[in-house]
Amino acid sequence: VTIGKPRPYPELSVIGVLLGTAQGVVMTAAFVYIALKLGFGLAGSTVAAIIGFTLLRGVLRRKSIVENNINQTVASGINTASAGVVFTLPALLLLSVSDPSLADYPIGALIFAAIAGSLMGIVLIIPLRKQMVELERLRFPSGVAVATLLRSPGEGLEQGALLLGGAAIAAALTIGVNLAFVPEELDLGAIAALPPWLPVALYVSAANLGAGLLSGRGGLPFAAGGVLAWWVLSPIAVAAGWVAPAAPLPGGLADSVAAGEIFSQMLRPLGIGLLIGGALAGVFSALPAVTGAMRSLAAAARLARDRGASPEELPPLWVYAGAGGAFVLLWISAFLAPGVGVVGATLIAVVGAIWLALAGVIVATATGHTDISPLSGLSLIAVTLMYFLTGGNITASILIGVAVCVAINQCADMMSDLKTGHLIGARPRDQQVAQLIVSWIGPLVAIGVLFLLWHLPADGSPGFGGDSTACLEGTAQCLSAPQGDALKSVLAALSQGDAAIDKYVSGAALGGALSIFPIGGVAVLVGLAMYLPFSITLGYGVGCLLAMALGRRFGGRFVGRRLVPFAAGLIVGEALVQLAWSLGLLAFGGA
Amino acid sequence: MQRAVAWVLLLVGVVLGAGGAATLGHDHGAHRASVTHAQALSRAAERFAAATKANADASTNLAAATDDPAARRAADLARASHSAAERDVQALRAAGAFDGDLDAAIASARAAIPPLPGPSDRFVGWLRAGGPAWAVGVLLIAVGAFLARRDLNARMARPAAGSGGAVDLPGTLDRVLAEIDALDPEIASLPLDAPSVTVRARLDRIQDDLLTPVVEARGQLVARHGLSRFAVYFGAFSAGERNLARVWSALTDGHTPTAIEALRASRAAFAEAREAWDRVEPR
Repeated sequence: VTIGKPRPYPELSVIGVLLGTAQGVVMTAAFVYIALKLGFGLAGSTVAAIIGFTLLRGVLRRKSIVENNINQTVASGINTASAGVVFTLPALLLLSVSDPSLADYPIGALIFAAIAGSLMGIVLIIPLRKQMVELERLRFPSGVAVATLLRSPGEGLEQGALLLGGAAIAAALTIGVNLAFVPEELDLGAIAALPPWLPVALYVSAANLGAGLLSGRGGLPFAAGGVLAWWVLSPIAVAAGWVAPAAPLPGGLADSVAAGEIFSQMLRPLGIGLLIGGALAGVFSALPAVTGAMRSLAAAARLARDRGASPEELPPLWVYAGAGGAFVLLWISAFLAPGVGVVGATLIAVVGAIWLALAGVIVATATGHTDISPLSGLSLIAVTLMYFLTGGNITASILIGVAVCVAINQCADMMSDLKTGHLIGARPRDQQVAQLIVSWIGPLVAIGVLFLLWHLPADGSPGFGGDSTACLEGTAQCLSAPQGDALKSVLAALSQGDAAIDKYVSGAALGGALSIFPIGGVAVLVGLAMYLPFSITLGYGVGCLLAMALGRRFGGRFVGRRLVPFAAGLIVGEALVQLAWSLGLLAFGGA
Repeated sequence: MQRAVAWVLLLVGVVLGAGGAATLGHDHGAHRASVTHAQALSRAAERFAAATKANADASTNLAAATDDPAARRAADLARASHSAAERDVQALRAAGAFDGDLDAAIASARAAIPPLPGPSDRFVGWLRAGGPAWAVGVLLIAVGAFLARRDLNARMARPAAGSGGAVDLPGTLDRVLAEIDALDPEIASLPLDAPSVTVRARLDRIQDDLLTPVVEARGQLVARHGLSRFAVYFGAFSAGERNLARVWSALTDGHTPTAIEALRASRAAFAEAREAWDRVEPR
């Protein structure tokens, strides 16, 4: 036996947190810009894990899988604010161009709302971790991919080769799609001359297929939901004449119009309703387990205190203090909004917090099963709720929209990181503390960068959106802010009373009834499938069926040891190439 | 039989319920139909105007550079695109989508859009149109779900299912504890920073052969004990599993003391899960 003073095993270290913070700040700033330019956000976990490998393991010679996990947890946690802010706040800025009264937005309130969302997203996940990661064992495909990446130094050559092979295939496919050598969608229905309202199309995405491969049988209700929506309901809707145009249109055009109407007016809002009903039922049925989890957190904290050790999870006091602090911040931000009094602020904060918690559960469940987060739909509901609650106060509605969007992104990211932590043997407490420490940074950076870009033109014209000089002149510097523009349209529709209340309510009841069935997450999965284009659902479903077939043919060990690293490679490869591609487009002005 | 009935009720209920829910109320449907009609005409007009302009520009360019093959190709393309847009407009006219001037038809289609019903009117309209089918569908789903749950509980309660259903959790836990007890001295005797490939391979086997089958069968355990009682032992089981993963990570990184510490924490958690099982289902 070698005698020597054991080195400490670094986990929640200053270096890990600082490296994660530096990466998180850079990613947040860059991803805000990318989202304004291209209209989509990027996840940071995979990138941070790889940079952590290079710097922590390669350069600093710090051999610790769990320290790199803290690094990626911090970096991706900070970055959650980029999508949360950029999908909502630009709408207020864009609206202020045509309505100068909206230009008096209180910046302090915006910052408080975003930080409240970030904080609440983290504390909400603490008691839910046991339920979703340990009891329900949701798959969190990206979390599994990051864990596979982190574990790769200890895995055999074969697993490493499978991971790299998957990443190489994903990289080649993604480059092919981006260069238009490969179509974005493999539209088999068009080849078979099927109408657009009976689609048979596969979304060409290695990550989507990889998520399906990792989910296996558990993801089948998602695919079944898509089949129900597009191969059963859609033809019924057309046959029953629910979407017939008022005047005859030529065949192809009539079919396209019908498909668009079915998606936007029926399936998508109905899907949101199912998500709400499924989540409500899920919260209700999981309540005993969650209260049990809170009790076990308290018991574990007491036991650890008696033994003089630190508990593995944060004690309930942190949860209560964090939730209370976040609620106060939310109340202050609502109170600072123009035209909102004490009672109004209280009502906004209470309803906002309830919706935020429910949306957090929805998004964590959806991400856990499929890796897909219905971020925009849930933020839209938050804005709609607040719009009606405040009698049409746009500033207050968007404030809460910012908080909800940041919070639900935080929930999905934190839960995925905790899944990674479970698989590599990290201490949940360290991950939760690390994320709480940096919870305020992401909102500040994201809001700061957004305002910097908005006020960039020296002549006072808008810095982004359709009315900006760059977009009007059609130059490469145009930041069209598509998500902000979409929310602006929603607010315009709301002001005309266009809210799909009937679909939300009927969908929620269906979701509640479906949740009684003894199939985990069935209502949320079916709702998510209705909310998304069918090509994504079908591509994912192919992955699920393939994983089941391989499992049946070669057994569970094959799935665990070979299929998982390969599927993780598919997710990692696409994420990295997509990031490099986006940065390349921005650098060379190709977007 | 009960299971088959439950699934039939589910399928019929979902189709009926979702179909009813997806239906638009009369006024809302009329509004959307008018909107899509006006939009279709506008889009055709916009495409036609853009194609006309592109065609004119291409002709001007071609006149300025008659010998340029690129200009000739561009002009051909613009002409083809213009013809396609013109055909679209003619097809709309032939289908009876509008008469006379397209711009006038767009204006009149926009003017003919009935007002969008307000949220409460929209809800009442939908309730009349799709409400009955939706209500029957929700009811069928609920009955089917009730039957499915009853069937599952009955199957789990059968003595043939054995201890913990198809999976023998207490037996598995005993084997895991024995494996851990055997590993402890082996890891403790490892030099610091020693290669630990064989130990990690044994940890992988514990995960694959003993723990993963329990995880895969957790649905049976939930059905047998209910979520609250299941959580009592499965939470401890998961903590043991997580600490075993920590042993693996620490050994990969060459931190033997942490590996030993985590192995003992894992043992304590699995032992706790065993005791919790006995409380839930006394021998």
